[in-house]
Amino acid sequence: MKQNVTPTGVERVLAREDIIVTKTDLKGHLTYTNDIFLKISAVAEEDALGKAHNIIRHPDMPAGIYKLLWDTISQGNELFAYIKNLAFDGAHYWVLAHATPSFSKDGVHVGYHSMRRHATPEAIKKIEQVYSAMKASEGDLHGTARAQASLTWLEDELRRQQLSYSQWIWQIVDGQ
Amino acid sequence: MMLFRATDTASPAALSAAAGMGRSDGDIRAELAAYKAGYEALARTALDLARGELEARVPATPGMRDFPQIEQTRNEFNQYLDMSDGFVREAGAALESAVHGQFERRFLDAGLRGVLSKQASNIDAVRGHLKENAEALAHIDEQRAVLASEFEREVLGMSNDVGASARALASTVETLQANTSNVVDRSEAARESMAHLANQSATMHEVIGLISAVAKQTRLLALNAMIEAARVGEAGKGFAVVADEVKQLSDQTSDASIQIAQQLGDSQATITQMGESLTRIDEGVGQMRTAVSELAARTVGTGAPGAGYAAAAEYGEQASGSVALTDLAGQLDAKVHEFLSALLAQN
Repeated sequence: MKQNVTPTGVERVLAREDIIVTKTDLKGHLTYTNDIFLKISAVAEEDALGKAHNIIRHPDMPAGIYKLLWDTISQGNELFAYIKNLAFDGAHYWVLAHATPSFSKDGVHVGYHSMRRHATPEAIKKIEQVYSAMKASEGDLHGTARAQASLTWLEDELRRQQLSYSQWIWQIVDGQ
Repeated sequence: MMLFRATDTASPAALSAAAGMGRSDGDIRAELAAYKAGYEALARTALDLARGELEARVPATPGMRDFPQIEQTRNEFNQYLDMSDGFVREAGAALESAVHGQFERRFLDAGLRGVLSKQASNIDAVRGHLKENAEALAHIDEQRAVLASEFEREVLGMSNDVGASARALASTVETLQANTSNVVDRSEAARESMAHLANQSATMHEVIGLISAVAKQTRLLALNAMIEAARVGEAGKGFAVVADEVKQLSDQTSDASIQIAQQLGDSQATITQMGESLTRIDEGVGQMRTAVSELAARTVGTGAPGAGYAAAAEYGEQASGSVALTDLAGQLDAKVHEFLSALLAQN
């Protein structure tokens, strides 16, 4: 699997009744992928397992969302986020991702779980506006400064709207 | 059930049947090995699941791709595990969020099927009830705050009224105390005047006794003069007339002094009665002064303001007069403010 996939602009849509499930270890390396993931990502299971989860990051995504995601789940909390993922063949697909920490039967934190659902066109339209503004706020920054810049933009915007992230994302999920 | 479909197909009977249809030993061995590997992976996963390890999934096995039924069964089994895993995560998170008041977080049942989807709806309904309850509780809290505010206003009003009444009472008691003191002074002045009057009355009595004695002597002298005048005959006639006049004058003087003595006796009796009355008034005023002093001590204190709340609490039994009503009113006001602050802090 090559490390840099060039987006082709081809869009795939996750069916309403389907779910994508992936699991990673604590370092974010894939330990399980369901068949829907493999199909929509155009990848063979043996090529996906062991890879870092961020290989499916789409360049359009603001880095601040991934920072928020990791900050949240590494503290043991869940996070819902709309994500534009990159398939291994350069196509992309939008999902409503639900990321949660995974625990063994003995309560040991063993990794992370992501369950991804269909994202409605209305939700994608709203999210794209926000993400493109977040992306613009990143400018020429790199690394953590880049992620912090767009996350700060989002936090400021939510403060302006007097909403928590959870309230904001659920307004979009509920189509409000 | 999906689990048995693959197994049924892989049963020895099916394999024998396949063997009978002209397949090579190698093919049959390869198929058997693929099914065996698939079965063992399924068995390991089942064992993990039976121990409560919901992270377990059936891994890919050698030869699986060549026999789509094995792969399909694996995928369906994993799909069920993904659904139940998702269900458990959703149920926990949705209810935990509700418990923390984050009611926007619904139970997402997208991707769940059959019974799991139905149970998801049930749990989401519970979440809805939690939300309603929380809203009802918030409403009750609001009402309580309104009641507390009304209560505060009324209690503060009453406390102020008590303070004002206590101050008015204290003022009245002070006036009463001054008036009582005035009455006592006047009563003492009246007693002094009475004593003076009694003295004068006794002196007058003595003077009248003197006049009465002089009148008696004069009458005796007049009678003697009349006897002597009669003895000298015609020459003493004019003297006899004078002597008779003197006798009559002394009689009149005697009568008048008797009358005055009687009247003086009457007025002396009246003075005595008045003295007795004054004594009773004095006693009454004395009792009144004690009562007023006690009342003053209770209302305005005895010069030891704010003798302490503990003393106030025991006031009923002590009646020591050391705690003033105005102090109590002040303490009541302070306590009311303290209580209301605590009440508002709770809200």
